[in-house]
Amino acid sequence: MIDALLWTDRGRGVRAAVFVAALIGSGAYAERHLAGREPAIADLLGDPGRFDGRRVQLITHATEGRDAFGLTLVDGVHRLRVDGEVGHIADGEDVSVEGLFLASLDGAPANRIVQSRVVGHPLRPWKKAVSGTAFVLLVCLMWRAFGRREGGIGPCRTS
Amino acid sequence: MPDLVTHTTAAWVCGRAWLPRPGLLLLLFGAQLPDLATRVPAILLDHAQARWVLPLHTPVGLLLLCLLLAQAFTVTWRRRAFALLMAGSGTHLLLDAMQENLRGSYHWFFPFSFWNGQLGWFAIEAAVPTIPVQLAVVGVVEFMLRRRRREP
Repeated sequence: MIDALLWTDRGRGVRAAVFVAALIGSGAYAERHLAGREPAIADLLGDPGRFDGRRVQLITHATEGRDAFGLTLVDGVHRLRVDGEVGHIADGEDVSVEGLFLASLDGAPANRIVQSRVVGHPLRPWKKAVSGTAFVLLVCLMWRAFGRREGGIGPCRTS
Repeated sequence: MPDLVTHTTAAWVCGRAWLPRPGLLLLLFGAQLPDLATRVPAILLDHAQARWVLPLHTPVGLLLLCLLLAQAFTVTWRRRAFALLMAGSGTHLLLDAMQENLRGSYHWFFPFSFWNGQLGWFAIEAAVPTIPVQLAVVGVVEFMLRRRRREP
């Protein structure tokens, strides 16, 4: 029964469509439920009042404009200022931040993180580089080991 | 997440002794799959947009993704491809569960819960300095295995 449902050639396209639909559905479910629980910078800036005064964690973000009083987080086209002790962070280093989001300060728009704890990720550029290399190498090996066969992808030879 | 070299090496250790080459490569690809599916979009887009692919770093999401990818294989390899991709993804999730950050980024029981606990045994970049050692170990073991195979 499961064999016929998952592994045979019959209905393969329909099965693939069902899995794609399920993945899109799960993505939509995650998007809907996580925007409030684990806001990204776009969420904080898009609806600041909703998150005003809330402690947030922003994981592994690029930074720019580090000075004596803080730095700016970069996420796509969005920027968010973080006030706090950043002496241990190098200019341009990726960071994770936990802090209090303030939508306004003394009546004026603030849109910044205060009372922050900033953790640096100095090895992240290396991590991206070695990860990219590992991926490219594996794709090359798979390209050699697998090929198009009748009915789908299969190994070129079994060794 | 540890880097992809560490994930790949861990899967290699699990599969090298008993898997033929094509199967081993699928196991290694499975070990890279969760990060390829979620971290690459997070780097290219922004974190809010990347939430759409976040389920691809959960057991249920990976189950669906591996089932989908397995459909591309021939009927004789389909079930095996699924099992190997899933096993590789399993080694990836296991390693990721051990790391520590300000908060966990992985929702282990999605879609039933958004709990994102982590064991906190090592920092997220702790494995990067050990890559030369990992590669050396892989190189030595591979050399020994090949040499043993050539002996009569």
